[in-house]
Amino acid sequence: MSWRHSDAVGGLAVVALGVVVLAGALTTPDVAFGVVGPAVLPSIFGALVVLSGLWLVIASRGVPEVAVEALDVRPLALSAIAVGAYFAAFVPLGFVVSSVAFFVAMARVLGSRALVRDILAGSAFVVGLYALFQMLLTVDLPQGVLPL
Amino acid sequence: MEILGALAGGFATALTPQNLLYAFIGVILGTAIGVLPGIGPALTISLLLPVTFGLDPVPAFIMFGGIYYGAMYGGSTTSILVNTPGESSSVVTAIDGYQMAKKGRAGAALATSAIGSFVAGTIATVGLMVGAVALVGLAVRIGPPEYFAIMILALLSVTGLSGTSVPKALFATAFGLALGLVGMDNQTGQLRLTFGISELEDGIDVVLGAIGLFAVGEVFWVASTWAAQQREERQTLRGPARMTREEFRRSVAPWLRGSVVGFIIGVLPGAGAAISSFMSYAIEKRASKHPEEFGKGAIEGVAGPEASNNAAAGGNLVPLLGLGIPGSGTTAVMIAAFQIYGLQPGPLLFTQRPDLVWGLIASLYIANVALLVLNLPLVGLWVKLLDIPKPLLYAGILVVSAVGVYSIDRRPSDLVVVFALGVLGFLMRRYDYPIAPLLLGLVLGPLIDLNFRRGMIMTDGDVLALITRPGAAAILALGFVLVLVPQLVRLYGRRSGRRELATIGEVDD
Repeated sequence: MSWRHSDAVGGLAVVALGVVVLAGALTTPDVAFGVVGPAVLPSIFGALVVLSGLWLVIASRGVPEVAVEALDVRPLALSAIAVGAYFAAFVPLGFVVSSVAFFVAMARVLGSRALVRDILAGSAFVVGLYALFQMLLTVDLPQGVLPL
Repeated sequence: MEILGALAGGFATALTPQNLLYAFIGVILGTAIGVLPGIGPALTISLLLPVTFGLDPVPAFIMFGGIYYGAMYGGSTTSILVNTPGESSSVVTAIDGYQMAKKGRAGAALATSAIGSFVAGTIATVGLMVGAVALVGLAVRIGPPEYFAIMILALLSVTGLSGTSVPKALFATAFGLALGLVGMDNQTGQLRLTFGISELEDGIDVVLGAIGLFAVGEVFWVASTWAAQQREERQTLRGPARMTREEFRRSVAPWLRGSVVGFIIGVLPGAGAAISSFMSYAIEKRASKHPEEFGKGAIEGVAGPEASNNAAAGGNLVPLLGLGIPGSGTTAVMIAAFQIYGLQPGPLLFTQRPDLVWGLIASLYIANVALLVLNLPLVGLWVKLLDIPKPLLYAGILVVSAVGVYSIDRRPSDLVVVFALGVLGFLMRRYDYPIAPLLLGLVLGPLIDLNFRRGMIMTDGDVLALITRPGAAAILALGFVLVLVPQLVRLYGRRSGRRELATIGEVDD
């Protein structure tokens, strides 16, 4: 059994996730109400997650690794940072500013090199969305730093 | 006759100028977003959900009907013209559709899938009407044990039919169910699986699940395979979407067979559009006098699967409307749409809000006609959407996702949940774990919990008595058959040597 097999690694991660679910379920106070308490099904589901992880590890023996696309680490890492920063800035900076900045940055991460076009397209798109949600649909979006 | 009277009432609701307008908006939005690569019907509905927040339920659901059918139509355009289809239900269409496009027959492929989708959508909507009414009649006689059994059936089939690996599907299902139970227990007020995080007390909304897993996860996946994305080949559409008489003749039988297969598969909870299109392809190949043409641009290989995945979309609505149980990722998101309006789909809705249910069904007929009218002459316009530069497209999807997430509860912590689910979705996609079972589990978790515990009260805590009630036992038996059948189908697929069929991936429709 190779521990570098993606299904073996994945299986172990799944087991860990299942243990977390189980721990959460088993520490739920089982207040008696009716016949089945609130912790029963979460425990069963957690156990099933653990079981599926073990099954994955065992099933990975002797099975060749499935071909996965080569991982482009740089665009992946940059896009994760961009999305994380965007979500963090969404409320403090406000919808319009954070969205335009994210739009331009994300487009660049994904290979766009037309900065002016991206800024224009991003601004038009974001302002359009803002108008749609704020004015037509009356969903209040965060204003942030802009006095809108 | 009762059905026809109710349907007439539905048309009276749907044909008011205002509702007709919403049906058209839905159809246009659905097709447009469906054409865009990487966005399937479940994500389309999640992204457009906030747009309907300000509407009354009737026009909102009429619009959803249009979006749902429209997204199914739109997907075929991408799979025929681009060799990397966005949705799993279109993978099969891409096999022969793309080959047809390479030979300059893109117009014919688009025409056969549009007309096939119309035929299938119409047949499926008739089936939906009859099937849902029959289920409603049945539903008044079944109790929590049977509801519990039906949901187990849905989970068994979504796990067994997911095509890739059973343990991976089991993980997706079980973890989805556990995520569905996060938050306050409705029956006791007890907090479950929140780990002391107060933001999790209200649970994880299915819309967060769909946007995190499909939108954020998809963008991460696109970024991680950036070099491969650059190699994408695209065929151009020359001339109108039209078939020759010969091509039309060859399409008719596959449309009809695909519609029937798709509808039946769609009704079974857990089996989705991808499975039905794969089965339809296998059937057409067997029925054809020229099986050697399959894989090289056989029009039957486009006509059948495209009809069947649309019919499956209609079939999926049968358990949703008749019983209130979603059978696919997309209908799981539709449940969320109902819940936003405080409505619970199922037998009661038919008696309490006939205007809404029948208005929705009538609008599906209207959407189908509108889609045919919009798609055949205007297909060139839809194809232009593929010209949007990918970097801008994905940046835009994430901005809309953020708005969608925020507008549910205006809670910044929801964005954190969505980010985490995006990472999970990326990892699952990369290592070939099916995503639809997770989304389905998220919605079914609380429903299963409720019906299991109610059922156990009925049987005084006797599990055996719960699962051996005749109705429940029959449903569970069907579930086990469903898990075994796909294994046999896969064996057959492997033996007939069609690797692309045997390896068709997940059911994330």
